[in-house]
Amino acid sequence: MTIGVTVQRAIHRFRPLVLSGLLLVLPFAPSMGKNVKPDPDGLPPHDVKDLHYGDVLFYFFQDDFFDSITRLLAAQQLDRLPNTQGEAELLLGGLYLSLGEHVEAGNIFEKLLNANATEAVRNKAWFYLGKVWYQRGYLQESEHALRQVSDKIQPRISAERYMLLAQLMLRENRYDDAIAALSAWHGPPDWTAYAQFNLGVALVRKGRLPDAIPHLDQVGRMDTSNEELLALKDKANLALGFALLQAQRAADARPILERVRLEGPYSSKALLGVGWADSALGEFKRALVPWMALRKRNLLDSAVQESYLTVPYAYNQLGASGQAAEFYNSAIDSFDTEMKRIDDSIEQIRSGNLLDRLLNDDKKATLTWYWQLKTLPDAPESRYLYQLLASNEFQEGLKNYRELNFMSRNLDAWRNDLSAFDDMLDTRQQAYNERVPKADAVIAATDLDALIKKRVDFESRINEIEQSNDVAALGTAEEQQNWARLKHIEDYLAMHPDDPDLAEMRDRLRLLKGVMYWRLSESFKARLWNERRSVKELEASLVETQKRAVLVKQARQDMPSNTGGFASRVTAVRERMDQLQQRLAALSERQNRFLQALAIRELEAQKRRIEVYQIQARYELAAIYDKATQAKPKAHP
Amino acid sequence: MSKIHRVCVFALSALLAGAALSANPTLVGKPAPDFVLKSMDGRNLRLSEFRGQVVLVNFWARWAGDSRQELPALDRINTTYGRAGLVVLGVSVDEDARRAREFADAMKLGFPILFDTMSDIGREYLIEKMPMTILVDRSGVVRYVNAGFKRGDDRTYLGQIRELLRE
Amino acid sequence: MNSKHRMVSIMLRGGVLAFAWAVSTGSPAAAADAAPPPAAAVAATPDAAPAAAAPAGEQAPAEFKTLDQEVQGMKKDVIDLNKDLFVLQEELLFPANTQVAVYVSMDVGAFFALDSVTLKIDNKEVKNYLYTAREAEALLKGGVQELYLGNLKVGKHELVAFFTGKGPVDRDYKRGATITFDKGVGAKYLELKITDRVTKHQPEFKIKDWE
Repeated sequence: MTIGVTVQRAIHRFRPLVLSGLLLVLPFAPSMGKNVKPDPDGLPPHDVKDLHYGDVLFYFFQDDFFDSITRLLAAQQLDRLPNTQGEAELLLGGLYLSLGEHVEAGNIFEKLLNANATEAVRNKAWFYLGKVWYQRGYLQESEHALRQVSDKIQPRISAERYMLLAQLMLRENRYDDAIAALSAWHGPPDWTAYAQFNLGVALVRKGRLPDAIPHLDQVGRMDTSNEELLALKDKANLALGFALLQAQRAADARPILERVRLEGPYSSKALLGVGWADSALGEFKRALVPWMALRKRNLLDSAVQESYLTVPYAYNQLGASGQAAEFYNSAIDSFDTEMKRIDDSIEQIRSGNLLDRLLNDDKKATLTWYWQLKTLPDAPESRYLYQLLASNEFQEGLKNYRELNFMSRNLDAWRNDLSAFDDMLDTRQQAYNERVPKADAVIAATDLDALIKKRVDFESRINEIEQSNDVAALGTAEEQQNWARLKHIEDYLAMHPDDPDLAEMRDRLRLLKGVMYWRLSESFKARLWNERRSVKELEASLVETQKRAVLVKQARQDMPSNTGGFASRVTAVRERMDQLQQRLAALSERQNRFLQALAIRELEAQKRRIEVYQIQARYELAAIYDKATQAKPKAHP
Repeated sequence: MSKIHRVCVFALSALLAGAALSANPTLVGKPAPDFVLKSMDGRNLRLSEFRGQVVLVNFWARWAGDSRQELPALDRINTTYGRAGLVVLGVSVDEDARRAREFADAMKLGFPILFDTMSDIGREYLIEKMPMTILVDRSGVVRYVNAGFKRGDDRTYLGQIRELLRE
Repeated sequence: MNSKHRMVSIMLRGGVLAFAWAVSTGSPAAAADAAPPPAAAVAATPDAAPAAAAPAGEQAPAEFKTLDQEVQGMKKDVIDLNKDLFVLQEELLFPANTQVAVYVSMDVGAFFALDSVTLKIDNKEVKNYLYTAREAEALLKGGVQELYLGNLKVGKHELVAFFTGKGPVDRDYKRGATITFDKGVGAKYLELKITDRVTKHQPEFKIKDWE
């Protein structure tokens, strides 16, 4: 399974651009593109509907998708997005998509994609979902999603959708469906080339070469300077050329193969093909030209390997069996060397793990073997794997590995914070243990209500006294006593109003009462004023007490009454972290081994191919020797 | 030589070839502390925004004599590898920003020069010996710490840079 | 079959191998600003290239899917944990009853390059932030920056903020604003809005108290 370099570039650009399209759905989204300066006059107005949604966007607009999604989920949990719920869900779906969480994204989109959502939103959501499913190889899900997209959508997206569907079908070997889809498809000119290429290939596979030719030929003649399109052009010519070769139309094949660029990535195969064309036409001397050129190239290239055999083959056809034999011998030797090199490479990959363990490398399964292969001075080994490394499977695996790495580092960073939390909680717990009883005591001792009642009662009493001019009420204890006594005597006298003996007493009383009254009156005003002042002071201290009570209550509230709650949360979160990091380590190792296995599988396949060639070489060599011995005159009787 | 022994030797030599003998073992392998500083041309540049590229951070000062040699060498490296995904940042820890500016101006350097007058970034990067050249990989992790500079050291940098660019 | 034909047939099989690699579905390059193209994949021809055969002892491609699923599953778990950590951290460090959060937003009709924002609360400088071009652009697009998170006691407080930047025609701007706010028992959110909607091309600071 091979995929060109173009796809890798596409994949790298894929993630952020998924969302750029998505954001265009959102009502206020301005244009993306980092290098595009906003239009000087006339930027759209922004009204911040939810601060925390804006916060999420701040990270999103800088392509910090991980931070963005963390904050979005947190904001949702804390109910901080009252006005932007719908948009937030859409963005969340898009973020999950961009992070490769297609299951989550799918769930969100499917929830969103009810009758209430606009068609535009629905279409976009389904489309992007389909794309991601496709990329990850979930073809059935992809087709299902893509088929939900209605035709009422931007032409570019519609075109890509058809393209994707067609490719889906090709991958599932549903050639006729693919042909039908592509034939009826009209898209942007720069994509027509790819569609035609795919169509041509599908037709070839279906055995409909005559139908395929015009399409592949058109792509093969395309006038372009775009690097990716040039590579496609080469591919088309190569495919057509070989198809024609297989159909025994060597004369037609040759000029087409010659269109392939000499400095391009397909030139080796093209050279091989040209030689075959010549050979099929019986022009062996001419065939030697491309084949000898090919033979000088790096033996790691499969086309070159083949040329090691085709050259002596040609010589043999030309009757130069001596040279043929030489070349066969040389081929056998070169193949031997090559196979040994492959064995070494395999060994290196295999022992990559062993290496780590030997050296007690605590950095979880690093891809040292991969980097080593790429950077060894004897770099040729990496060219074996060039095809593999460019393959989707390997790249996705590598990406997984990198993502695992990222997650590991993310959790490591949090781990530091967690121990800081622990310290903080300990300190708080201590402070809490000290301050809470104190606060509680204060609060208990402060019976504000009683105080307030007291004050109210006091004030009303004074008002009463003032109203009724009850001068006696403000008297000193002694005065009040005396006044009471006088009252008492007065009452007694009142009971015996006609008793003449009591007349003097009555007079006395009158005098005393008058004096007393006069005295009390004199000081009444002052005393009243004094009392009122006391009330004011009482009032002030009451207010003070009130304030203090509030503060203490406040502080009491500030002391998290659930410090215990926090501690257990931190413990819980730490446990999860431990588990996750264990899983990460295990997964990293598995991923690493998977990649190793891919690489080894590829290398072994290469080795087998060379073996096959080698066997063939030996066989042909033997045939030549046989012929030579037969040709020798029978010398002895 | 037994197979294990051979593997060990290979591993060791590979390690030595690859790893710089860092003067600062504590920073290597850790995420590079983020910072944002104003550059000479007025832009504010934040280290973490360069993630995805390989970053060479050079801490220099007028009073660090070797900076005079190192900076032009870094300029050459910048010219060659700038297109391949390398970012070179020069951070001056001079307290006298004006003099540092003049100094840098005179050298006509092609990469951004930032000023850390408060020296707190220098502290985060555990600078002991000046000048110091740090290499940060595409994920933002410090991979190499080169303390001091003498002739020929730029060749070591090239090896480190090429390795990180390949990732 | 003479040697020539045998040779040719074998070679052609080898040639077919080359052909098998050659025949692949292509993928379009990202055209202009289009969303990027779909990934291409190849189904090998029936004359299977060795690469397509699953060798014994090494993992088959099916392994990729399950591993892939697990990695994606992990990602979800890590994201969830991050979310919980984020929430926990905020509740621990900035509990609602003392939390004060200051945000920066931009609503300008004309281009404005924000350079820095300085924030003082109760006469103490609590934040001095330098904005990169990328961050400034995120604000222009409608993002809102959480400039400062802190703790304040209940009661009245004073906030002073000013920003610097360059407007169109490279004009330097420095503007400030102040607000006295009341910290109650719930979290307090303040928005520093850089806007030129009131006076065109003259950006200024407007402070909004989100009660």
